[in-house]
Amino acid sequence: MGSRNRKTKLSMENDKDSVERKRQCRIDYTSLLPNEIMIKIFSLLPHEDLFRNIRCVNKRWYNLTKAPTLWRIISADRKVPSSILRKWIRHSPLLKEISFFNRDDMDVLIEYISKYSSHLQSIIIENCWGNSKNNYIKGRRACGMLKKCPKLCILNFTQTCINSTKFFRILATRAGEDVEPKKYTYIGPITQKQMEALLDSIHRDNKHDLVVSSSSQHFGHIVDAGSPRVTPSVSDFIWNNLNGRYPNE
Amino acid sequence: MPRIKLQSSDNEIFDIEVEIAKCSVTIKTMLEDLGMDDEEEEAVPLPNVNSAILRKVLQWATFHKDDPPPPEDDENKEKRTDDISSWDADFLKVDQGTLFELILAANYLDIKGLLDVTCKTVANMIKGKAPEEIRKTFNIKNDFTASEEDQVRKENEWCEEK
Repeated sequence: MGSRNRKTKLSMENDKDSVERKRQCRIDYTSLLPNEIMIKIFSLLPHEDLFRNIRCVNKRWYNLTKAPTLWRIISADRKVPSSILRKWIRHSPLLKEISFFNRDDMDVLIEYISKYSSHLQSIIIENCWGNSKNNYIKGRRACGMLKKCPKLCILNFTQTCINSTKFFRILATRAGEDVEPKKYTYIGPITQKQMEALLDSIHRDNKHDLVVSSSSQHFGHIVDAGSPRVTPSVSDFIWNNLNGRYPNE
Repeated sequence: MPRIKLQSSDNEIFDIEVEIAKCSVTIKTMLEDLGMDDEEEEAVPLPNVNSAILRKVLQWATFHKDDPPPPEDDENKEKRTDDISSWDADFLKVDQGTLFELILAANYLDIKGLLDVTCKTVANMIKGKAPEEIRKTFNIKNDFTASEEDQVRKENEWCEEK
């Protein structure tokens, strides 16, 4: 009843000032919520909202969007500037999954990942170049990432080339390291030489068994599942099924 | 059915089934730690929750008392905000003050199901809104200086287009 009276009164003095004044004295209830609840709410929202809208609301919201727990997964196509992405990676120490699409700055980003993303478990690099002049990802950078990201077990380099045989040697032998989960997947192009290096390392390092299989017509797929040892027939099978998209092959 | 008395911050006493009260982890641990038995005469004081909110909380807890325990937060699981049951959606058709007090109460009383659904409701109020719309929705003051706002906008330029 009381509220209805107030409503009539308000509509009577319906000048803009009083509406504005009323708005100003209303309470910002979000300011009453502790940070961890705000972050819980933000974690329910798409990254697009976080980036485009939420961080622009006010200083508190801006700072809360930096919470590492909000950034376990990052995905970026070529629209995201390299400088922003580097900053983003640097501020996301809990990063678990990262995906890049159609970019030409993998060398520098992989360097950043090696430096800041020790929790990384999955990387997807689709149709990317090492830098604007070179379509290969530098081997040294890629090897560094394998060493610095011990949990990294899913590597999808669809249509993206790595200029290194050492990378595949490390890939083959680190499967034997005492790292959980003990299942490794590589999807992507592989040259004859790289495949030989890979198989050579697998055969030499007898500590574990490795299953190699092909995931599709186009990509090699290597999984350590602790079952049958690689046999020549298995490796032939993969090789025949690989359409390693190396430009120089 | 054993019962228990809860006392709100404004000293109202609520006499309810222990099983319903125990959906609050805070109350459950309190009872265990204090070794209060089920026939306790004394009311459990809840100094952070007023009677209006406690009444709502208990209404929610009564409706949901037979629910399976909510799953632990799984960071790998896709986050959804569109899976609020129609009963909850109706229950949460309240003014913002009540909604946010329910969040604080659910947090204090440690009732995960209620906290989840209230947070989802707030997330839905934010989703897809431009910064100024968000400020309007929640009466938030923009405390960026002009140059700070410029800076933030600059960092955002790449995602503005669409």
